[in-house]
Amino acid sequence: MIHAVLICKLMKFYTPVDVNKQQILFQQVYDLINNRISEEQSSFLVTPPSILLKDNGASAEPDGTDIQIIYKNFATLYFVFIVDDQESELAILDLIQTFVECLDMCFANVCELDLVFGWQTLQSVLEEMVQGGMVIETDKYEIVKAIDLLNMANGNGNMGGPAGSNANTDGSYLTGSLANAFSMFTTGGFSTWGAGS
Amino acid sequence: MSFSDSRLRPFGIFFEKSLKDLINGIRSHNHNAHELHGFLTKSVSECREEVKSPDMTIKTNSILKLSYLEMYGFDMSWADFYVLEVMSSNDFQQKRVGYLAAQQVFHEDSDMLMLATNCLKKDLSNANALKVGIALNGISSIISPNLARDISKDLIKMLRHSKPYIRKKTVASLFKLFLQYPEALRDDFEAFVEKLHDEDTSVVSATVSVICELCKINPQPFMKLLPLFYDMLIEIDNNWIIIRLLKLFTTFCKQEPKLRLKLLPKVLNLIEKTTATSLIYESINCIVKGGMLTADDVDTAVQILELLTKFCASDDPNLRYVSCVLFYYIGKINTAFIYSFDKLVIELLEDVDISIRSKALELLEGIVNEDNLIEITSKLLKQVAIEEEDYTSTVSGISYKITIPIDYKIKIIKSLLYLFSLNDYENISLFEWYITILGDMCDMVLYLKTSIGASNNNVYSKEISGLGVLVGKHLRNVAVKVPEMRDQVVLAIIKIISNSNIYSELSSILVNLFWTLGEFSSLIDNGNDLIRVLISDKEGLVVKLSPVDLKTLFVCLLKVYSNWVNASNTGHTAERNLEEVQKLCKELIEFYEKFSVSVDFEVQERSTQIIEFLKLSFEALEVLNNKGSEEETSGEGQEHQLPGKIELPFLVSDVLPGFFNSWELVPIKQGTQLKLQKKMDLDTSVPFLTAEEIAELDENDVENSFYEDIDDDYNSEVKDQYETSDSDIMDENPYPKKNNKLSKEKIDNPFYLQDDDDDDADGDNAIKERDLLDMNDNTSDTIQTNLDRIQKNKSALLLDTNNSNSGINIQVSRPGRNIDNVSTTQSKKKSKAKKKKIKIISDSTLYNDELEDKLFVNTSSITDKTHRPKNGIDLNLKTNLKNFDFSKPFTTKIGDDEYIEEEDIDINQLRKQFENLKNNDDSMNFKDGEEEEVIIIKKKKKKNNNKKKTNSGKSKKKSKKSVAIIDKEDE
Repeated sequence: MIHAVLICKLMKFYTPVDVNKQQILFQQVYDLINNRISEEQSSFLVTPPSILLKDNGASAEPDGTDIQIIYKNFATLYFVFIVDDQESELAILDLIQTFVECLDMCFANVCELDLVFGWQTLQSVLEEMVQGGMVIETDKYEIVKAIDLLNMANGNGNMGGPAGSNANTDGSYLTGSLANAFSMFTTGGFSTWGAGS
Repeated sequence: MSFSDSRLRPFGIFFEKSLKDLINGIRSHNHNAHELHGFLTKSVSECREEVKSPDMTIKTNSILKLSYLEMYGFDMSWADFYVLEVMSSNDFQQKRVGYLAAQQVFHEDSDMLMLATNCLKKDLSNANALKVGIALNGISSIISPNLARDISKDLIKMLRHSKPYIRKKTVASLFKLFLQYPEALRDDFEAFVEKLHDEDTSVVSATVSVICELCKINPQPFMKLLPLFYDMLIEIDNNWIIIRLLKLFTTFCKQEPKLRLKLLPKVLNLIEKTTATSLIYESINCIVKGGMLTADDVDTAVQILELLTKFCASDDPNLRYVSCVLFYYIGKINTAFIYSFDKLVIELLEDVDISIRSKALELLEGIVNEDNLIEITSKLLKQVAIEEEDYTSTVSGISYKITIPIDYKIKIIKSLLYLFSLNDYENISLFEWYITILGDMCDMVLYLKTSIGASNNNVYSKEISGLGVLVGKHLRNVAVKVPEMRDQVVLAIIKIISNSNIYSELSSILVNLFWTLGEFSSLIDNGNDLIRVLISDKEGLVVKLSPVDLKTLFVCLLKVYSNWVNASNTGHTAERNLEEVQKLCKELIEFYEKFSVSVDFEVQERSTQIIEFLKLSFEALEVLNNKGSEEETSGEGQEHQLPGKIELPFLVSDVLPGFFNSWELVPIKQGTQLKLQKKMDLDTSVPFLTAEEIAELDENDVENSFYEDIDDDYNSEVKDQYETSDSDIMDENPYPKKNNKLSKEKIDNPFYLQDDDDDDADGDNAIKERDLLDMNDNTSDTIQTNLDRIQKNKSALLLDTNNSNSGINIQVSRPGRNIDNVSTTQSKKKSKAKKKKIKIISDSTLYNDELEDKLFVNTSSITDKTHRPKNGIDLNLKTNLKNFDFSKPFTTKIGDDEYIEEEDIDINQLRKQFENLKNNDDSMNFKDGEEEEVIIIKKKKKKNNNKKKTNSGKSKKKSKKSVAIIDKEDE
């Protein structure tokens, strides 16, 4: 299963981990990845972060641990999946690809800033792909469709402010191309919580 | 509060920070860690206030911000009640935020989760599929055993939901539910498995995924579905599902090896049919990891390896990496399979990707041989010596700098050392090269250590110290196992220890070096110079050495002194005169005196012992010196003594060497000594030798041993199995050596045996050095022969130690070998010379008791088995699925509280009962039935409870009785 997903400032743990340890893991993983050349080198982090190590440096044993850290980067963004041996490495790489394609559909030409500010969108895309560590959907159209439905669903509560007005008005500090950053998929509903009103 | 709230919110607009504002704020404070922390703390406290607001919008907004802030390490579990509030909101989007936060907050089985159960149940039964969806999502993250029990029926019902979206989400959440509450899997197995035939592919995919994960923990309940999975594998054409099925079959094959016959052709067929790389890879993975590739199945191996070789040459680093990993597993099945791929593996050692190099290192064992070892070594050591490597991409033409991480360097050195020592140096063609490399490695390890010194990285500094020990051990082993190379090793060691940085940075290497120096100090001509190097203060570093190092150093010094003083070869060093002997003795005493007040009692004791002995020697030397100068002039005296031995006092000439030269050392297989202990019947109260025997010994030089007296069979057995291999332990040779004089006191000395025991108890499989108290006046054969050789071949080698501080020349005699052939400054790259016949002593064992060997391995592996450190992360999911017995009958659910209460009563009852039994045997006269009620284990109790529910009348009575008993006892 997938134990954890780390993207930008999003950390999703499907196996409970202390908040403090999450931080350490996050830091260690990123330090390790930063030392690599992603264009030429593989997407696998052979050296596990020391927080995942057993005592006595059991790392020397190649089959001592079945946890793999698989990552892919797009520009300066890293998508890190921490998985066990029941997941196929290459399939996870495909999954990351699907993930990015979904984000691209949501943000229209996704860029780093989108992901920084679109934290909730990341959450909801991830939620539709991976649930409790299991991959539940790999079809990007299905995923985006589900997000649309979720975002457009209106409850009978007291939602503050008209949905959709925010992304565009608050976009002043974003680059011009980002005026349409929040596509119609994400402008409504859940993602407006990021923008407030 | 509500007043001020409303006053500050004209037009109904609120001005609380949105998540976007928060992120913006974080970004603007990002340049300074301190400032950022301040901002974050401030934001959290703002949220703390906002979350209390009665306005659901503000509350939700703050919960969302808190969830985000948790990514910065601010635990939000304190807000669990507010999260629950937001979760229960009627507004759909607020509910979403609530569930999102709940996944971060409700991990433990908290009270709040019990309150949440109602909310979950309500949402699950909602007509709005989206609400159900987010609830299901939440469930897979927050489920606990209690919650699982409460909602299992609801979830099972949802499997038949009209929307595939809900069905797949239900299947996914059932995974976590089954882990927490395996009873549900047993009771509703059919309903769940039915989903394998669902019309929607994503539901099938999710079901296969869940089964795959469950099987990893406990495959037993799904074994009966094997035929179904097999058919699916053939029929389905969705790659995702096929990959999952392959994973599933890997698990099954490990359980049921018979599957191989049927499955292997199918998987091979799959490889041929498909074009998808990931599918080919997973098929191979399944064959290899599922144990379908047997060690004699060459055809399959060739087919697989052909594909993998293609992958390894691919431009895609990911493909190269995963294939490299598979190579390793194939090599583990049968090394012969990968032996011919040496070229490929060596190429991979220089791959642009360190991850791939690291995997290739693991492959080396399979492909290494005499011819490529030197190439491999030089390639790898080059990588250790540099920080960064330049690399120009062949594809894009861009130049990169590849950082070579320290853990990879550590791995290189470990792997190389392992390769060198494989099968008694099978792959070493030139031992001079090997020893030079060991010297280089020592420098490199030292360099690694100093390079991380500043960053103070504890993880690695421990590892590097470990490397020091390893290099030391290898130097020691080669000295012991390859007698012809001892002089070389001694030279290399002297070079190493003259670097005072070793003392401060890498003292872990010293124990073995000291020992080796001492043990083979008869090869050193100017031992006096060596001693001065060893005892020199080195800026106080020597005094700071660990007790273990010091103890070894003490004995080492004594050995060097003994050998130097008593060496008959005086040709080279004219200054080996009485005065020098005496002077050195004095210096030694001064050195040891530093430690006579050591805090470590062992160091203190040993140094005092040695001091006392040396003082005696010194006095004896002084007497002799005075006598000499009285009788003749000192110059004449020296000349007189030169050709032969200097006439030394008995204490120095006989007693001192007697400490050490009892036995020749041979390497012994790890664990042998332990076995020996078991085998020997020792009665410590019986003297080793009778009085007559001792008398006899005193008269003649009898070839005799303790061991022969004790166990005659033993020696012959040792001889039989003299040649076995693989270990790094050395021990005293149990063989008897020539006993020249055996003085009675020493034999009767009880310490001799005790020391033996102590060393074993230590479990230290390193060298057992001869103890000071082991005072058998024997002269070793080898020493004699060495001396003979030295006299024959008086060539000595001078080594400049490169240390201007000490500026010493240690001269090492090279017995019985032609010096022209070899130079110490031999280049690493010197191509392979014709392999000389060099005698290598293999490890000796006691007897071929494989069972015992296994036992030994087992115990060692148990000690090796380590748990994750307390501050590490454990990614294992808590579940009792693993040991769940699916054959048990159905049970109805029992409330947890009730459960605990019952348990308590059990324990109380038991306690009381025992007390009463103790006090008054007659007071407790249970009838059989009642007794059964009271003395019951937890599991049975559960069953009883079930019974209770079904036929309540009878059991109610029983429990009443037991309660009544308690009451009575209380009175």
